[in-house]
Amino acid sequence: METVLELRNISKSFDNNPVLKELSFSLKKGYIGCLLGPSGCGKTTALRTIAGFESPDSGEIVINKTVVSNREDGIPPEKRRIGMVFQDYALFPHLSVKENIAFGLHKMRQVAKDKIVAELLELVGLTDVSGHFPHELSGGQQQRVALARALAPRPELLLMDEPFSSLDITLRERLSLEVRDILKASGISAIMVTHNQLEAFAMADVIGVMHDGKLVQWDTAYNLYHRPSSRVVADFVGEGVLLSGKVTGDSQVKTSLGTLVGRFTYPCRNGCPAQVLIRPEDIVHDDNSSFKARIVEKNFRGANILYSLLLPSNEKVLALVPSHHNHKVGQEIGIRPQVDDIILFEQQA
Amino acid sequence: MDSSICIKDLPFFSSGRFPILGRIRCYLDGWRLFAMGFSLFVALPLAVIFLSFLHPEKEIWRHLADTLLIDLLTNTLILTAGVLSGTFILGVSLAWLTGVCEFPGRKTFSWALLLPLAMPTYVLAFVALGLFDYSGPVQTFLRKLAPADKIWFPEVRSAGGIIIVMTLALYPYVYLLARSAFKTQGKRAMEAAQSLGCSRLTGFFKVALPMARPWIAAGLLLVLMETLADFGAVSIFNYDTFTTAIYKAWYGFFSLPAAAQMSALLVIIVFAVIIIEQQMRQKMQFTQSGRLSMEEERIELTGAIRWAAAFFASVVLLTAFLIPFVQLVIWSAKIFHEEFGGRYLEILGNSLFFACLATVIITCSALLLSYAQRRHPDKTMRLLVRIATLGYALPGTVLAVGVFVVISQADSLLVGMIKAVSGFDADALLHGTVFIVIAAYMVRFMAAGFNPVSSAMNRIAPNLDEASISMGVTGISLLRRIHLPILRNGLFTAAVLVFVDVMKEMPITLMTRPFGWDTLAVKIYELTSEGEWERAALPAVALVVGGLLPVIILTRKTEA
Repeated sequence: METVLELRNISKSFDNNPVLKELSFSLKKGYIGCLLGPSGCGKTTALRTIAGFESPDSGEIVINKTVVSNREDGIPPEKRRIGMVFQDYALFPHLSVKENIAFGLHKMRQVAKDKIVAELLELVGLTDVSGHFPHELSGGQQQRVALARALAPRPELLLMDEPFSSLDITLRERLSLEVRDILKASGISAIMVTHNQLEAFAMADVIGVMHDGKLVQWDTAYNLYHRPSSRVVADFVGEGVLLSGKVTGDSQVKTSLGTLVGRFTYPCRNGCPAQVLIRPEDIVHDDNSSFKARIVEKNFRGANILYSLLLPSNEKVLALVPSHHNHKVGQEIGIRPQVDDIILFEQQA
Repeated sequence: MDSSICIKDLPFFSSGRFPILGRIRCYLDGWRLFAMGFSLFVALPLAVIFLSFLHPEKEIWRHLADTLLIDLLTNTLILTAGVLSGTFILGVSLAWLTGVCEFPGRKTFSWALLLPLAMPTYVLAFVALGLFDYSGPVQTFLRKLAPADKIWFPEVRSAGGIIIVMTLALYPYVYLLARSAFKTQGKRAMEAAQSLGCSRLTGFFKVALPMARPWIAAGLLLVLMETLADFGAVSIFNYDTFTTAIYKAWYGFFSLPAAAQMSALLVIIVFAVIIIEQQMRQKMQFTQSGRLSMEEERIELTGAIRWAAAFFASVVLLTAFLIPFVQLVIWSAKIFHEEFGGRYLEILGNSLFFACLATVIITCSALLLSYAQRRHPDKTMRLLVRIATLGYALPGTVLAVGVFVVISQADSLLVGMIKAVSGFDADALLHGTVFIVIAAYMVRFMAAGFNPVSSAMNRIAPNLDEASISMGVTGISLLRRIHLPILRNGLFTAAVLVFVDVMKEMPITLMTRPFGWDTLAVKIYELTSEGEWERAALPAVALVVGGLLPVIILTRKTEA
């Protein structure tokens, strides 16, 4: 399949402060990519560099086989055929919904413009408020106007900067699914930026975890969760704890939960000290188990309860337990590990 | 000049072997240069005034110190104390009544009480004198009722008289700010107070009023600045303050240095006020809480109290605006045939010429300065902008002296240079021209133009530029389609404010105008100093009607 966007070793500093370090990835046509990371990791700068609002210190950006940015010169943002949805939407306050959406349509007959605008209004479900001004709309409506406005010129690539962060949680979930449907329906490739992993999981086909200006893993949501390539990713994506252990065989590692047997996601030398990622669902509550752990914290989540358990070794693990197993804090409960795929990282000296 | 208006990272000029030069060139783009130039333009007259202390005019200074200085200080102190207490009482009580309570006519009073803003202080002053002086209609009427020696009538030309006049003219500043504080501070705090056992009335004194303190203080500081800067009203009342003393030193003793030194004293007082004001303003940003205002649940005044409230508001409105305005119209009608004619039109033309020229120049400068601030929103720029807009706080008499000195110096420098280069002996280039008046206006009224433009500019978030650029709309087209529509109202407000301010400006015009360039305000000064109230009414009516424009804008803004 064709590649719509490629970044090759993009670096960027502000005042000698490196913000992007050797960023490289590529996105296939029609896919939705996401840059995920905590605030300050450089993800917004990466997005703005792709858009052309920042120029990289080194490296190349290729959009649809055209080099749009390298060290010597760059194509200005207005010529890159990108659409952008801003975090605060950046709707033009003096223009109505219709006029906002039509803003990027140039050199076109009025009839053609009207047709596109009407289609987009229909697509985002805002036909009723087409004459309203941005300040008269709710947050969710404003978001949809911003999306429609960015889609109107049929961009090669849509860029979205924390597109749902100013919405409340219920709306956020619904809208992210809606937006995904809209993008998929119109076959648009997109890159979004967020710090919220659930949003990333819901929206994106492929996710890049960024840390300290570097792209640490560029992968599917499943792989980020089940095959994290580094401790940074394991820490950031999903819940879980790292237990220290020692590799005792081809598929065996000894930890304070006992010896775990299973497939290693990454090969590890025998006898090597390692850290093992234990997800909450890896710990199964079993009253018959002789292995006991004391509850130190409990977090009711409806269908499940997330217990924080203290092991005899003084290490803590999390356990996700069906919520009818209701125990008190301080109680000891029986658990057993159930780990088929063992995610472990060699201990750094 | 890098004329790009959008915010983006700075291009780095490489200057070959001199990287430092490249860096300086990179830093000093057109925007920064403009801001620096303009703030220098404002700072120079001030610097000159302070430098005048280096060459004290001992003779005059001693004379002043012996006779005048103590009087000036006590006069200023009494006047400011009186006007501050007066405006506080009137402003806060009226703001509370119209902002929080409900009584007959409240909606009308709510905006009508701002009308006195349209009346220059000196106009109200001469109308008051015309009405209540010994030969005025009120005392004449009283004398008809009883023999003159049996009637006691307070002396109008006194501290009390001028305090009342200035209170009536200036209370709207306190009223406006206090009312917006009461309206915006939100219901939450009051509800919290009520949940803790306060009644609505005690809640007001314990919560609403203390919360409004920064706003009220800001209003009072505006009043204080206006009082310190006032020249027209005090000179009509023959009440000596620093501003009249500066004028007298200039015209009476013909001593520019003495005028400058007196100005420096006044400026020190004003600066103290500015510093307090800046700190107040920082506080104002943090006090707002809760969105709902108290609009919906007003305190319904009952029985006699509601009529008392309506009566109180009517008395203020009548004395501060309606009666004086009607009196002006009556006087104007009486002398219309004699006064209206070529001479009057010429003076009106002068006023309009000054006002239009200043409006265009100041609005454009304000626009450039706002763009400079948008382009470089850093500390240096904030300082430059603050200096550039400082003139608003400075009394016109002071600025007139400062600008005059600076331009005289620049003039002799220029003339000398021209003579050295071409041998041509010019007498003066700038001196005695319109340029000096306009320069002084620019220093004085920059803030009036800058503030509305800059707050409109704040609405153009950098994102809007980027959104527009990403859709292929850049350059002039971006300015036309995004910036201009958003800035339009701000520019209009700025233009109206500057226009009206210049129209009614008195001391700068009086002291720096070229020969023959009388304006309406100057005419009023000349006529009132001869006690010709009736003849002064015609130019005054023009000023009041013009002054209504910004009041209308203001009420539309606050009611919306």
